[in-house]
Amino acid sequence: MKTYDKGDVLPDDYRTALINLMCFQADSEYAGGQRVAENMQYAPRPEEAYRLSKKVMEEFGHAYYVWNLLADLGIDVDARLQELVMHPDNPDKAKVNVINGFRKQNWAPLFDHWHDVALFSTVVTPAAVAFLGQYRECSYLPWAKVNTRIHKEEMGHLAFGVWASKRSMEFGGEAAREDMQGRVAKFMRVGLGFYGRPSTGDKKSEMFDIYYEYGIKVKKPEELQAEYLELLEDRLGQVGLEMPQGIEPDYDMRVGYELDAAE
Amino acid sequence: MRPVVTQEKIKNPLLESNLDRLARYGFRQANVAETDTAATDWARLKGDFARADEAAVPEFDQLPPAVQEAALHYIALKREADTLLSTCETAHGEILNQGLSVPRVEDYAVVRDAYEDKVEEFGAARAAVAGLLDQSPAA
Ligand SMILES: [Fe+2]
Repeated sequence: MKTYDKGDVLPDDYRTALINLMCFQADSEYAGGQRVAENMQYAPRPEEAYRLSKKVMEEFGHAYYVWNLLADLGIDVDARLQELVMHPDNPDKAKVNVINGFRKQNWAPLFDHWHDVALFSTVVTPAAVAFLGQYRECSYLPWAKVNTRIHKEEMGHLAFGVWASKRSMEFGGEAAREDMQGRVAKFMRVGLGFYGRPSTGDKKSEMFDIYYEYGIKVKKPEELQAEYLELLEDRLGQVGLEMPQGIEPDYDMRVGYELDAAE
Repeated sequence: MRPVVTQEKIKNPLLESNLDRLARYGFRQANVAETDTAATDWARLKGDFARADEAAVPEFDQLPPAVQEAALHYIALKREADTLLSTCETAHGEILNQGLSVPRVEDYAVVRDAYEDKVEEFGAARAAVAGLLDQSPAA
């Protein structure tokens, strides 16, 4: 795999594809932080609230790291930050690339209780960990390095999910466990859909092959899904919840290949 | 004399209003350190210990001395976390208004790490208080 470092001349197509994916990551990290901030309303106790604001601070930090790299590539990143800050509910799609799942109208209906917040980090975050984890090995080295830093913190968010889920059950007993079990499936649909469609078959994504060839997507959706399911099963086991069977992925929550092809 | 033209600062209302939710635990209330006693702080924070299957958490004055001591440590760490979180918020404001740059983002990473470490300490102190409460006879 040919790699590139800061300041290297990038082939035009590579540069376009790279900037597209990096913008998706940076803008979505920030929007994700905004959604987590909105979830502060559900925090039931002090420690939950302070730990959730820790997560908000981290997500904004992730966006900042990637935006700094995009600035080196000539992107006006301050305009992106300002768009998200000034129009958090519905940022302009022509100005920022936020994944569908982190847009408020798609996110907010999934949440009406702290249990949802705890489960998001237990059931969806493993998908983000697996997905972003691949960028640690991508061909653009500065981005690979930043994602190594981000990945460590995302692992911490998984730990937050396990902690928050266990504590909900400690306080709420069996009734809390049952309520949470009922909420797992809707988040698993999101987690399963995170990577986009499989890399083979008639429904395959047109963009995937291009990204894969350039080494800016390193793993196939089916490999990422296997990693996701392994992480998910382990974490659900840790908190005493069962993995629902026969869940269909929600590809509308994917991280954007088809969207790119349509542009 | 020419009027001084100051550029309008961009605000971040979403972040501000959601951090305001920490006000119920004493965050960003300028007078907290001056006027609040451990008892009022404890009253705000004791929800951290109120399990559904257990008796109500005692007021601060009713706690055994050893629990009071642990509670004071827990309260102090919460206040330190508040201060660090305010510092993070200021750093966000600077990045937003002065622009993204590597030094500003690295400065932010430093204060954010400090806040995060404090939250971990606060969590550990909470667990210590919870352990002592479990051992102490109901008030
Ligand atoms: Fe993140």
